[in-house]
Amino acid sequence: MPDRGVMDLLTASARSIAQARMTRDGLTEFQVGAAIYRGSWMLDGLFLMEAAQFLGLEGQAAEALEAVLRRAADDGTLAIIPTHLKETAVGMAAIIRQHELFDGKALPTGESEVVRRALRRIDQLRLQGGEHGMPPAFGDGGLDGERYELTTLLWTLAALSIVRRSDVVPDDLRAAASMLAENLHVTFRNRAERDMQPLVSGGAYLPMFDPRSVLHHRMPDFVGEPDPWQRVNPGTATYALAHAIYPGEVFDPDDPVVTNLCRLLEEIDDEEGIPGDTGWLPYRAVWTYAASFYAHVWLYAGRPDKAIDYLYAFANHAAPTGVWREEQSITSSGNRLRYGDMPHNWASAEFVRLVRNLLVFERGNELELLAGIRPSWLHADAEIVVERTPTRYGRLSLHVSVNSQNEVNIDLDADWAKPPERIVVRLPEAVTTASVDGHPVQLLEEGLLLPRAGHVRATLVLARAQAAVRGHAAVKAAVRDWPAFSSAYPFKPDIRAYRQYPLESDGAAHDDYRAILAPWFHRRRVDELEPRIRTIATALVRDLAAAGRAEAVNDLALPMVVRSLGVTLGRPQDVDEWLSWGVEINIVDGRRDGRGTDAYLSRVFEEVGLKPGEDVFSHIAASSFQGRPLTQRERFGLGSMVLAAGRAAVVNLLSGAIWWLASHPRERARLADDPTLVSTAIEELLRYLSPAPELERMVTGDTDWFPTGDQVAISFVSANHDPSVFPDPETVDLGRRPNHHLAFGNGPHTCLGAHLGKLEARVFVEELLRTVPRFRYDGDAQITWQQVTETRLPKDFISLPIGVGE
Amino acid sequence: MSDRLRVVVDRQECFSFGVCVETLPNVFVWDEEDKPVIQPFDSDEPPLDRLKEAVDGCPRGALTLVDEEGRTVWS
Repeated sequence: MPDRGVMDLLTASARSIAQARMTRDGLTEFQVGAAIYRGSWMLDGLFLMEAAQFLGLEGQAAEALEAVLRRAADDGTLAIIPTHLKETAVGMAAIIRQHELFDGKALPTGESEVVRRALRRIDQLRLQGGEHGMPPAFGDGGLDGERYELTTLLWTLAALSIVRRSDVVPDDLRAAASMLAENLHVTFRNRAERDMQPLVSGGAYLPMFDPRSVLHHRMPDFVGEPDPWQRVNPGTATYALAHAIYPGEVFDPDDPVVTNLCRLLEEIDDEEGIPGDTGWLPYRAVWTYAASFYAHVWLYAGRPDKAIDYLYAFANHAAPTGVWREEQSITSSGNRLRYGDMPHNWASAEFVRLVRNLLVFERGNELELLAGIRPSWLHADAEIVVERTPTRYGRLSLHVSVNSQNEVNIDLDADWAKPPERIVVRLPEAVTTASVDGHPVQLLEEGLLLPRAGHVRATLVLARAQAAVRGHAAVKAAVRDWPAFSSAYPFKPDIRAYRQYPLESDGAAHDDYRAILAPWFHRRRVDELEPRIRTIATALVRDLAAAGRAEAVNDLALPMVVRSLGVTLGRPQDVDEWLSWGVEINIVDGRRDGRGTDAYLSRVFEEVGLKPGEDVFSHIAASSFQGRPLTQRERFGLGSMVLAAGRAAVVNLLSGAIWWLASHPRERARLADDPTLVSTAIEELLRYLSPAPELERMVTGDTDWFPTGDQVAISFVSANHDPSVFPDPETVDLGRRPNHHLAFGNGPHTCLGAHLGKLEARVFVEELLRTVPRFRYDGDAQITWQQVTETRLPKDFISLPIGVGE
Repeated sequence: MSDRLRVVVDRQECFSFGVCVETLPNVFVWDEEDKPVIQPFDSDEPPLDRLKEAVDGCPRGALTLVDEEGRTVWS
């Protein structure tokens, strides 16, 4: 789990469940509690056994099931407590669910027989119940007494629904369950119509006992308005309604029974995040793990956001040892009442169930994946791993990982007993594109449909508007407040095992790393390189003139930049190799991959170690840091920096200049006529295009904007289009002055290669306009775009065919 | 008023970006290390807003406008 708190509680819950086992009368069962609830109940057992299965404790679940089966009486009753009439239905559901999870194979004859007799017993109870559906029964979950209550009918409906839909049950029993269910469903609808009560706030709720039949047993002689300690609340005992909704799936998600319960829950879940007053403690209290019952309702009703909220509220009610009390007063009431055991092991089972079902949810004939996760779980490097979890369709393993590019990679490995009709990945966030097994696929409104194969790989790209610092003043303030907006963090761990220096460092360390590289990019040194860089531009432009056409990105901009770097870094012999890497050195065949860079650095540092030269790598190898030699990782960090920085961004700048000039012939003629304008024109194109649009920072201190630990983008492009600093920012004004753009950043990390980048751009544009003053688009350009406030700007130039002449 | 103002350059921070030299070439002049040296200037020439612009434009924040007592006027 990406949230360590959730993972810790899962571990604690597993421990509680493992410790809950006790052998009595030769039967090993999960005991619900340590004292008050030292024993096993049918309903608690059903969920404890399911949680045990989810934890991989199949053997222990099998033993507990054996104990359930040995409760079977000759008349079909499956009961631990005789007045708990619902137990026969619950026990029957438990047998079926366990077999679905074991292997999905048909029930053994003996167990089919137990189910057959249980169905017969339920039919007898139905006849006794008449218009009430079921005879008077113990009102569990806060009703008390023996009465015509609804929890027994609702659980009977849930169990019948589980029988009728299950592949492990013989067809004749499914048909019998179906008939019984339809009959009882009519009775339920009649009762619901008759008993529905208005909520003070509007809407309606279904009380779990017949409001006309008898008074609450706690107030037999009470006259007038009952005081709150004696009131049966709208939410009291609605656990059974929740169970009928899920796992019972008795009602469609948009059935008024479901929507009414959801509406009630919205009203009573505010104070501690768990619906209040739903159990035995009648006044200002929460039944802690009922949070899970209601979370499943929300999940089923298509509101997984509420389900995950309930998971956190539930988690926040755990004791420091990772266990739960059954019920407790809400803190602000000051009542300090407690009910039930601590640890209450059913609560632990619910935590396990809820987490599993938030990730892997069985619904009808479908499987829903990842619907109930928090967006914050999908951070870079997050992993969610589900190992061989049993479902009614078979066992499956799910491996989910997120990279720094907001790509969610899903690996589903399933051993289907009978594959679901549909497998839907439903993420809590907007997704831009998706692919399955390497092929792009359409997204449906409800999510990404996966093939029903044994092994599937899918990638979803999140349409995430990353937290960003925007605007000129804010960007400038943030980058200068480097202790709060730190760069000292490995921001790209997916492509390199070291940090880039000085980019990914701060303070004194940053200054020292920067000082190592600074002489290579100093204004005076770069100015001295101008004639050699101009020769490169002249040659490229001459080729363009001769050929009459070129693809501007790869035939002009990239070689201009890479050859200029070859001269600047003293490695002209490597230029052809560098060219072969393309524009983005860490993208290989469309995937982020830093191995090529590492292999090159490894080789070159070995080479200069043996035979130092006049190049930047020899200089790095001979440099020291704070009085000691550089480590290999530091050398790689500095080497990676000079290879990658000033490459893609300058290629984009040059491509962008060509792109803009090709479609603005008057401005182009103006520049060609007056080359002294080129410098300010380059500044303006830097501002407008912002070829390095943003950089990451880690929020390390309290800021007014972001919480500590957030990774934010510093949006230089937004600063450069800030209308409060640049009048009419979406107009390119080649003579714009002043033009204090932040295209090279600002503060301590201001681009070290700014002089070089500007020189390359100026020299290139001068030479281009001198030799080829007229050019135009010649074919389809491939450009990726970015939205900045209301403007769409080019982001990356993939290809840009141009031709000489108008 | 500006006859009493001075510009202080943090030579450690400066890396010769050149905004100041481009903004006010009569005030900021490159020295032999390509850092700006400040030429003496008189009252109202250059105007205060142009000085502030040069200070604001320095990407490294290496310039500070101070008064006679050395108090920061603009940085």
